[in-house]
Amino acid sequence: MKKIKEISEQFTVIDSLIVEILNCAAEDFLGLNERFKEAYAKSTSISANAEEVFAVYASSYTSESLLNLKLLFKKFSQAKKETNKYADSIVKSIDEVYDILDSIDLHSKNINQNLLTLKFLLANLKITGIESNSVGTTKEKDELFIEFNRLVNKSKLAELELAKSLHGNMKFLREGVDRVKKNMRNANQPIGIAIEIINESILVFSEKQQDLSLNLPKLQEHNAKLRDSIDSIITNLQYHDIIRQKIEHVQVSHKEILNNLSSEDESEQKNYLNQIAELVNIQSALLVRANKEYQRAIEQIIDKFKIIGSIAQNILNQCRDLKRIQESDTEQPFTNVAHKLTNTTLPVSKYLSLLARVNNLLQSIRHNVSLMVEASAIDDDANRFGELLLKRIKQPELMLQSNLIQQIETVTFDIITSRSQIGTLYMHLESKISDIERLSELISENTKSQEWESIPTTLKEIASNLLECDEKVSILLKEKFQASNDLGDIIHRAVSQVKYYEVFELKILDVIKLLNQIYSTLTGKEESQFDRDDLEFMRKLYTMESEHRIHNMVIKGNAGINDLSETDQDESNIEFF
Amino acid sequence: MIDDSVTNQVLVEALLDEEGIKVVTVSNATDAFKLIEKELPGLILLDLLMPNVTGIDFLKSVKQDERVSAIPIFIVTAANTEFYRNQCEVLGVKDFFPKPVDILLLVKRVKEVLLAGA
Repeated sequence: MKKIKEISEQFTVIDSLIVEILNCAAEDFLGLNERFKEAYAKSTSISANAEEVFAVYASSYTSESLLNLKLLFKKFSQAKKETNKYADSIVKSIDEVYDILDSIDLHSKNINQNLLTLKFLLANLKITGIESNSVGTTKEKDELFIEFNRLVNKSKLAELELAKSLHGNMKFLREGVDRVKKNMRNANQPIGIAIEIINESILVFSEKQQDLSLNLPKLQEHNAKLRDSIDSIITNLQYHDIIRQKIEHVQVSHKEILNNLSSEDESEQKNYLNQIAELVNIQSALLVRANKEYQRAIEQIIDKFKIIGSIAQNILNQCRDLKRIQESDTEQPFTNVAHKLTNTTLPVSKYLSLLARVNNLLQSIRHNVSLMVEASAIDDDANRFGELLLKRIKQPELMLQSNLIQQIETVTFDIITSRSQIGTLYMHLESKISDIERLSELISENTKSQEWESIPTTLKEIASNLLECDEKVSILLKEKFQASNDLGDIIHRAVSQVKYYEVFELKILDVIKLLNQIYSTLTGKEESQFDRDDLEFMRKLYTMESEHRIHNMVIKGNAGINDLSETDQDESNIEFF
Repeated sequence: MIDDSVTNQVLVEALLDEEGIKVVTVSNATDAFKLIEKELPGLILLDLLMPNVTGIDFLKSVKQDERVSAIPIFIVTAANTEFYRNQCEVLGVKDFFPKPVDILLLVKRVKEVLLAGA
């Protein structure tokens, strides 16, 4: 009776120890729940944050922006080609104008020479026209010679003026061509810079788009794994409650048996051994089953927590790679591109202003040459008057030397011919002026077109998008770094806060002790030292010396017990067979 | 949410909170009844296996009270037997979720019911 009461009390203590173990599991699960709550919030924010990073990049590095850049590239490349074409055409036109003026100059020189020849011939004619008996005729002749000389002088002056203007223009043209060439060369430089920048931006855009398309599936994969791990944790966290409910159900039977054992009524205590056996079975089944479930659930939960941490880090690394953060750069590479794009407006403006300068130059050339053409109108009056004079010189009554008159006629004819040729050359010049006018209009149209006007706005928009994008992503990544660090802490706490294993070890040793005591009580046998299971005792028990003793005992029988020749005196070594 | 398991309370509350759904948790049916009369929630999540007043008892009381009988109820329980399912069906529960619960499905259905009732 007393024995049964004692055993009953011991079973009650065992029951309470088991309950303590289960309560520890409950607290651990509560802790894991709390950590899960925190980890869930952090990991979903990291995941959502990553998706936002991708969305920000996708909205900035759009196909539309890329298309605009490609159009700009095309525009600038076209402009460069046209600049070279204009340069060649302008230089060619000016050179042709120069050649024409050169020819005019030659004819002008001929005219000049012929006019001097006329003067020479007139001087000779004067001499040959001297007659001793014809005073009246001499007076008429003198007047005629004076008129002719005056005409020749007038023509000579006109030719001198023309030559001066001609030489001035030729010098202007020479200088003009050089300045056109220089300005066109200079114009190619900034447009070349603009082309390089646009090209670099296109590469960056294309790379970024490729990055996004390659990384998005990876991100989706990470997010899917994250969700799977979270699902697994959620499922395993629920096992505690399921196990608890089952344990409570079993514990009802357990309590019934204990109550029977504790009952004062002897009839209730019959078959106490069977009841004890039943109690032991229930207790062990309870503990083993619960322990196994908890072990499995805790293992899964911790494992998945670590996976979540690892996935979050992978997502973070992925976003960092996407941003191409480089430690050595003070500015982000894409911010660099944005600034360069904004600065592209400068070379573009320079290009346009150089072309405008060339255009002004062309206008001046056109103006000067036009003036020349206007001034070159053949003096018909001079020619007519010259013809009249010639006619008068040829009058037989003047009795002037006929061969000289013939020479005068020839030279006059040469002058008229040269003048006519000059006239033809001026007509060619007019068509060249038209060419120059046309080129000037082309350049003007090109530089003033709406496309050029819209370029600064387009560049500014793209650059602004890029800068905004980089800024947004920097902020998002900063948040993410923090969240990732926090997640690491949470996971670390989740792992370190699990006390179940320590508590189980402590309590189970007490349970085993009590069970052994119950056994002693039931059988009347003393508890042997080998039944004691505390670790300290086991440590002392199983030393090298004791093992050798046992070994010798087995090999040599009792005679081997005192043989310590091979033993190690250091009792701190533990060796287990 | 009526569940005597604190761990379950914390878990479900954390997940629904992320979705912007306010959750009030109670550990026993008696307190729950007083609360729902006062709060008139949009939905009740009910565990069946609770000490003293069981989930089934609570369900019967709610369905008999006109003031609260229209509140939709989801059963969330480890007692996934035909007996309990039939009883719950007869008592007019909206949905039955055996433990361990597919939380994503639970959250989805909660949102559906709350939106429909809004």
